[in-house]
Amino acid sequence: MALEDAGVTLDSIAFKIATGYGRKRAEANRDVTEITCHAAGAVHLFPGTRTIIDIGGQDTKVIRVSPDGDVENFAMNDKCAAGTGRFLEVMARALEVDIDELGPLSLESDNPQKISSFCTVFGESEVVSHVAGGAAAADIARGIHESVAHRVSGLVKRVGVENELTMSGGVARNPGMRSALSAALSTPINFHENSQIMGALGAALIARTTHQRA
Amino acid sequence: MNDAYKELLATCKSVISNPMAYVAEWKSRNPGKKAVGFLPTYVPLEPIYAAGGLPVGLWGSDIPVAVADAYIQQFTCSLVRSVTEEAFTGMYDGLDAVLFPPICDSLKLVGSSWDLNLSGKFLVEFANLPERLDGAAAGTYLEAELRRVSKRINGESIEDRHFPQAIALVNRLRESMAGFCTWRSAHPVPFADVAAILKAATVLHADEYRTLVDKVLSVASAPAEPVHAIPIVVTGLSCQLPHPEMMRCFDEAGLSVVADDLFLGLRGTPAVEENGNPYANIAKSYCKSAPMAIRHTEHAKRHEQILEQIERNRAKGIVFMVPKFCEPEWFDLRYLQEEIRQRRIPNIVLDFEEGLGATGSLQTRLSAFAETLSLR
Ligand code: SF4
Repeated sequence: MALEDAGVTLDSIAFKIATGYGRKRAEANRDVTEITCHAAGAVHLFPGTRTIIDIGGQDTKVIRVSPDGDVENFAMNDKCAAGTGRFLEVMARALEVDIDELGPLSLESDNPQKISSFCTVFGESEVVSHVAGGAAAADIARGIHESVAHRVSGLVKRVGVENELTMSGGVARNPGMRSALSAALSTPINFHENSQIMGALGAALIARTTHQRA
Repeated sequence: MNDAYKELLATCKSVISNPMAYVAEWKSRNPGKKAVGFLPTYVPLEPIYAAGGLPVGLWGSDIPVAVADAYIQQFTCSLVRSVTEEAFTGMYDGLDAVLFPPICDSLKLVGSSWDLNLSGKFLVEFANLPERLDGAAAGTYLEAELRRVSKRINGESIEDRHFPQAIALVNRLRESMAGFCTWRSAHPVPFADVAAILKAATVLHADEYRTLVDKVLSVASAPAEPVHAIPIVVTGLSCQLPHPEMMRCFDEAGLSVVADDLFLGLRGTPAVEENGNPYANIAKSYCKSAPMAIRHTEHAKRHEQILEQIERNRAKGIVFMVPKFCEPEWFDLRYLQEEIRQRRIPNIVLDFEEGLGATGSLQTRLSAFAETLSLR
C-alpha cells in the first residue's frame, strides 16, 4: 500500500531499515531503534534541534542530541499509559469527543480543570465526574492536555531541556498538546505538519547513509 | 564451546529454574542436615557449611505477586516482593532457616514480617552487618555478631575446629566465580549465560559447583571467535542476579558486558584466612569487601572502581542498571552519574523490575544506547 502510494516496487529499494517495536520481526537489511530514527528525522527537518519529544500511542520518549545530531541521552516513560497518546484517546472517549477534535477544543478553554497525571484509570473517572459536575468540555479538554504535558515535562527535565525543542510523532499534530507542552516548558516547540513520519524519515536517511557507505 | 561448558550451563539453568527441587534432592542425600536460605547481598556462608548445611540464595522468580501485597507496599523492589510471594505461598517450606542481611529498609521490614508470620515453618534470623567498615570497632562488633548468628541458625555453637574446611570451601566458591569471570573475558559468552552461571553458584553446594567450573577451566580451548560487540560496564546490580532472559537484552543489543557488579556481596569479599579465630577472620574479610551501595559512605570508592573497570577493559560506556525502588542504589546513583558525566563517558540509567515481562522496553533502550555508542 505504502509502496503503491509512493509509486515504487519492493525490488527498487536498495536498503531497508526496520524500526519501532516490531523491528526485529520485519524483513529488512538492518533494524534501528525508533529513538535513533526520530532523532535523525527531527534534525533533518529542524537542524537546530537539541531536544526531541516523541509522544507515541504506547510510550513517550525524550531524546537529547548533540549539535552534530548524534543521540546523547534519552528517557522513556514507564510501563503506564499516562503521558502517552493512549491517555488522550481514553480521555477523548470519556468526554465523547473525536480524538482529532480534542486539541482544537482545548484551545477554547479559559478555566482549565485539573486532571490527575499519574494514572489513566483515575484520570478517566475524573473526566467523568467533571462532565457530571457540568464543567465546560473545552476546560476539561485543556485539563487533559495539561495533565499529559505535566507528565511529559517531568521526563524532559530528566534529560535536561535544551533549545531547540522539536516534537515528533502523531500527537505533535495536536495543537492543544503543543500549546500545553510549550507552556509547561516555557519554550517554543518546532512542529512539522508531517511529524508522524519523522521516525520513518529518519530510518530512510540512515538507510541512505548506510547504503552509500557500503 | 567445549562440552564441559555445555554441562556447566545446562546444570546451572536447570538448578535455577527450580532451586527448591535441588534443595529437596540435596536434603534426601544429606539426612538431618539443614538448608539455610539467604537474602542478598552478603551473609556469612561459612557457619552454614561448618555445620554441614547448604546455603541457598533466594532471588524470587517471575511469578505474579499477589499474596505478598497484603504484607508489603507495592513500592518495594521486585526482588523483595517476589521472594516474599514465594515465602508466603509455601515455596520455601523445605528450608530450615532463612538469614537476612538488613542492608536496606525493605529487607529490614520484610524480614520482621517473615519472622512474625512464618517462624512456625522456618527460623528467620538477621545477620546485622556494620554500616561503616573504616573503624576498628567494625571487626570486633561483627565477630561477636557472627558468633551469635552461627549459634542461632545451627542450634548449637559449632566448634571452631569445623571451620577451616568450611572457610576453604567458601573461598573456593569465590575462586570458582572469579575464575569463571576471567575465563569468560577470553571466551565471550552471552551475558544471559553469565547471569545463569553466577546465580547457580548461590544454590548448588559449593563442592558441586567447583567441580563443574574446574572442568571448564581445565579444558584448554581456543578462545571463541571474537564477538563484534561494544564493550560496556554495568553497575547497580550488587544486590541482584536478574533473570537470565532479562540479561539477554544486552546480548541482543550487541553490547558486551566486560565488567559488572552482579551479586557483589559474595564476589566482592576477599578470601578468608583458614587458620586462627574463624569469626574474626570472616569479619576481617567482610571489612575489606569491595565498595557497595549498601553502605552509604562508599560512593567515592565505587566511582574509582568503575573508572578503573572502564579503563582496564577499554569500555565504551556504562549502564547504570538500577532496581526500581532500591533506595541504596538510587542514593549512590546521583553521585556516580555526576562524576561520569563530567568525564563525558557515555552512560544510561535503566531502572528495572523483574517479573513484568517488560523486556521490550529494556531491549529498545539498550539497542538505542548501542547505536549511540557505535556512532562515536
Ligand atoms: S535491591 Fe535494593 S531495595 Fe532490594 S533488597 Fe537489595 S538493597 Fe534492598
